[in-house]
Amino acid sequence: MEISLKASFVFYGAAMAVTLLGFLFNKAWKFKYSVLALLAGWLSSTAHIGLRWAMAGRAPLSNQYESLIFLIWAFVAAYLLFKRFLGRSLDWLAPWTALVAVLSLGGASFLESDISPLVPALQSNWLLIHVSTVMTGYGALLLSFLGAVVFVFMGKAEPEDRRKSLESLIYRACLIGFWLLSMGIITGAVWANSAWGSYWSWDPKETWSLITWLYYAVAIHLRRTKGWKDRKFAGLMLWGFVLVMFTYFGVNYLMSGLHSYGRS
Amino acid sequence: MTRLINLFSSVKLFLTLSALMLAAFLLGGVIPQGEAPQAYQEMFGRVGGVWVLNLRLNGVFSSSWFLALMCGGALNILACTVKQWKLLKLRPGVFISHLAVMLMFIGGAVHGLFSVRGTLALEAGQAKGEFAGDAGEPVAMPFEILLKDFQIRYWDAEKHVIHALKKREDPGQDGEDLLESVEVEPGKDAHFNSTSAELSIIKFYPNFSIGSSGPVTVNEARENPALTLRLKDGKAGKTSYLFANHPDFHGVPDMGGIRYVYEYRPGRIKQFESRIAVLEGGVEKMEKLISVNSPAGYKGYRFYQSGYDAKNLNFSSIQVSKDPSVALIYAGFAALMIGLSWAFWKEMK
Repeated sequence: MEISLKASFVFYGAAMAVTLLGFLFNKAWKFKYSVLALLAGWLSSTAHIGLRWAMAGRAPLSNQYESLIFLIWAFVAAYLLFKRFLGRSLDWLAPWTALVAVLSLGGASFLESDISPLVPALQSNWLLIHVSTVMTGYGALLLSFLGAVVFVFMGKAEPEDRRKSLESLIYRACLIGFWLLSMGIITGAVWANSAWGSYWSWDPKETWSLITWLYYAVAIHLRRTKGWKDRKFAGLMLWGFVLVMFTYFGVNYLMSGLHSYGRS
Repeated sequence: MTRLINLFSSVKLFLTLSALMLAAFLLGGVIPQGEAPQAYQEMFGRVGGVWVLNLRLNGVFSSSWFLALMCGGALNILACTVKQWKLLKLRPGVFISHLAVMLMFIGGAVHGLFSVRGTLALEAGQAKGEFAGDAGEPVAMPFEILLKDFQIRYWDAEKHVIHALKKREDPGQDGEDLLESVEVEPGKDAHFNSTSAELSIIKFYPNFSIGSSGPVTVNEARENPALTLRLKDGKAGKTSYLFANHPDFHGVPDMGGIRYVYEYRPGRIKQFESRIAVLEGGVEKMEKLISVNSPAGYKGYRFYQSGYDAKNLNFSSIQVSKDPSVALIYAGFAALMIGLSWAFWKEMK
C-alpha cells in the first residue's frame, strides 16, 4: 500500500523534473510529459486510497493523514479535470500542481498513518459523504489559490491568452470549491443532527467553516457586483485559502471541540 | 417603502453586514465560549475580562447584539429578494440561493424560540418523564422513557499483560532487561518460560482500594487497575498485588533479580448503546436500541445516545431534542444547493 503513495511522490517529482529538463534543453514536450507524470501520480494515489479503503474496511477519511491524502488527490484531480475542459492552455500549470502535491505529500509523511478502528461518532455513512465533499472543496480552493499565486506573480509580458485562461481557472475553481464547501457544511450539519441532535453547535470547526464560507460568498459577490477581477480577485483567493488552512489544520491543533478526533 | 427597501437591499449594507458577521464569527471562534468569568480575567487581565463579560464576548452566538446582526442580515436578504424579484426569471439560481439563506434565518429564529434540548440521565431499570434542559431546568415530556439496558461494545477487549524484568548483572549498568511478556486472564494460571515461574491470577480489581474488610474495587472505572496473584514458584502460596499505575508498589517478591510488572491495556470502544422504551400511562408504546448515530424518535422528541459513566456501567446519558426548525433548515439546505447549482452551472458554461 505504501509503495503506491511513494510512487505518487516519485511521479509528481518527475512531473517537475521533466519540465525543468525540457526548459534546459529547450524541448517542446516539457509540459506534455509533465501532465502525463502528474496523471500517473494521481493514478498511484487513487490506488493507495483504494487499497487503504479495502484494508481498513471503511473510507480512509477518519484522521488528518487520511483526509490530507484525499485532499491532495482531489486537488490533482481538479487540475486534470480543468485541463481536460480548458485544453492545452493550462499545460504549463502542471509542474506547479506537482510542486504543491509533492510538498503536501511530504507534509503528510509526518502525520500518524496507522489504520485504527473508528470511534463511535465516526461510524456513519456520513463520514464518507461529509469529509470527501469538504476535502474535494478544499482541493478546488487550493487550485484556485495556486492559480492566484501564479497570477499575482506573473510578469506583464505573459501572453494574454495565458492570463485569461488562468483567470478563468481561478474563478471557476472558486465556484466549484464554494459549492462543495456549502455541500460539506450542509452534510456536516445533517450528520451532526443525526448523531448529536443539533445541526449547529458553534463548535470551533463549524464556526471557522462558516467564516470561510462567508468569506468566499463575499468574494463572489465582490466579483459579480463590484467587478473585482484579475489581481483583485486573485488577492481574495490568496487570503481565502489562509482561512481554509486555518479551518482545516489550525482549528484541529489550537482549539478543542466536537471535531477533536480530526487531529489524530 | 421603496426607500426603505432600497436602503436595506444595498450591496454596501450587505458588505458591511458581512464584514461585521465575519468579525463576530472570528471573535466567537477565537475567544473560548461559555467559560467561567474568572477564566476570562486570567486570559485577558482584570479590565479585559470585565470587557469580555460586558460585551458578551463569552457567549457571542447567544448575545443580543449578535442576534441583531443576524436580523440585519435577514432583512438585507429579504429586501434584496423583494427588490430583485424579477431575478426569478432572469437568474433563478441566484434568487433561490438568497431565498434559501432567508429560510435558514427563519429556521434559526424558530429554533431559538421553540426548540427544547437537554440531557436525560438514566440508570438501567429507571424511567423518567422529564429531562434537564441545557440551562439545568427540568423539562417535562408527555410520556416516560425507560432505560431497559445499557451496554458498551468493544473493537477489542481489555488486556492484562505481565512483564518479567531482570536487573542487569553488570554493576556498571543501571536498568532492567525485558525477559518476557505474558497476557494473563483473571482466574487462570500463567506460565513464564524464561523464568519457569507459574503465576496463578486470582482476581482483577478495576479500581483498587482498601475497604474496612480488605481489598475492594471502588467501582467499574479502570482508574487503579490491580491484579491479585499467587506465585507458585519459590515462596509458594504468597498472595501479591500488582498495580498497573504503580509498578513498584506491592510487587511480587524479588525472585533472583526478576521483577513482574503489570500493564493494563484498555479495550477500544466500538459503540455504546441503550435499549429504551417509551411508556405512556405505564403502557409500553415503543422500544428501540439507540446508539451514537442511530437515534430514536417519538411524538416530535428525538433521543440520542450521548455518553456513559465509566464508573457506573449501568448509567446512560441520552440527549433529548425537540426542534420544529429542522424541516425549515433542511428545506433551506436543499434550496441553497439547488440555487447554487443553477447559478454556477450557468457561470461555468
